[in-house]
Amino acid sequence: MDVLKAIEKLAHQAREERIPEFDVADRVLQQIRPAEEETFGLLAFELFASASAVAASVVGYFSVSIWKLITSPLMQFFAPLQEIRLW
Amino acid sequence: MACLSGDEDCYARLVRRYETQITRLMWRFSRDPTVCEELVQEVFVEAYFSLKSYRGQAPFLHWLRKIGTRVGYRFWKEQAKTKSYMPLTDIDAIEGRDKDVIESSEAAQILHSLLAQLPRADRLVLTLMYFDNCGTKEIAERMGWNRAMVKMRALRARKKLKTIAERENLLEKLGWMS
Repeated sequence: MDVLKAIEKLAHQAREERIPEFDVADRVLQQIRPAEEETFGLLAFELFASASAVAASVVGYFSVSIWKLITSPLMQFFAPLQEIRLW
Repeated sequence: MACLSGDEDCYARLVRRYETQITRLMWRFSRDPTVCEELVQEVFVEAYFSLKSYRGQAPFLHWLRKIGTRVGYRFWKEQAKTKSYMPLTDIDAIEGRDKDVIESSEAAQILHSLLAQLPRADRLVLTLMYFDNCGTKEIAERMGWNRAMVKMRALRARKKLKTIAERENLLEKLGWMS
């Protein structure tokens, strides 16, 4: 008899094997819950990060326009000192 | 639909409905009850987080089997990294016994040990063919492989299995078959 035919027969018999039974539903739910909470936590963090980015962009926009109005920021900083009599 | 909106009780009912079929599938990947149970659990957890990708075109069980097959294949990959192997003592154990009464679980154990000696992809193709009676089309669909490649792999895997079985004197040991 061919070996492969013997294996086919073996497989046919193997298909009738009794399989153990498990009840995994509760453990699946236990595993799902913390992962879902983690997802929500991450979502809140992402929302906060997005809001911060928007706020930073607004502040940045106004800062740039004000910065452009100053002729020379360094001179503006030292300007009051020129009027002080040093001796 | 309720499951998609996060109804856990609904999902628990789905798990209970399909766990027997998924256990049957995962038992082909590991015959250790503890490992098998973990694999079944992993399949359902993975399925829960992929529920949005289920389009409802094929039965839910088909979709679950697809996930199960990939989880099992990944398990073999991880197992290969840890270099754990399946001893071939099972075939020797039945020698000298009343071979007419070989049980189905013994037959499955022998086949599992033989297939474990094949490369991972070959093993998967033949495992699904022999244990689950899957055709090349179904295997290709489950794994996202090309059907022609699965056919070729099945052909080569059978040749390799034949060599292994001959080396192990399978026919002599399983005299009850002839």
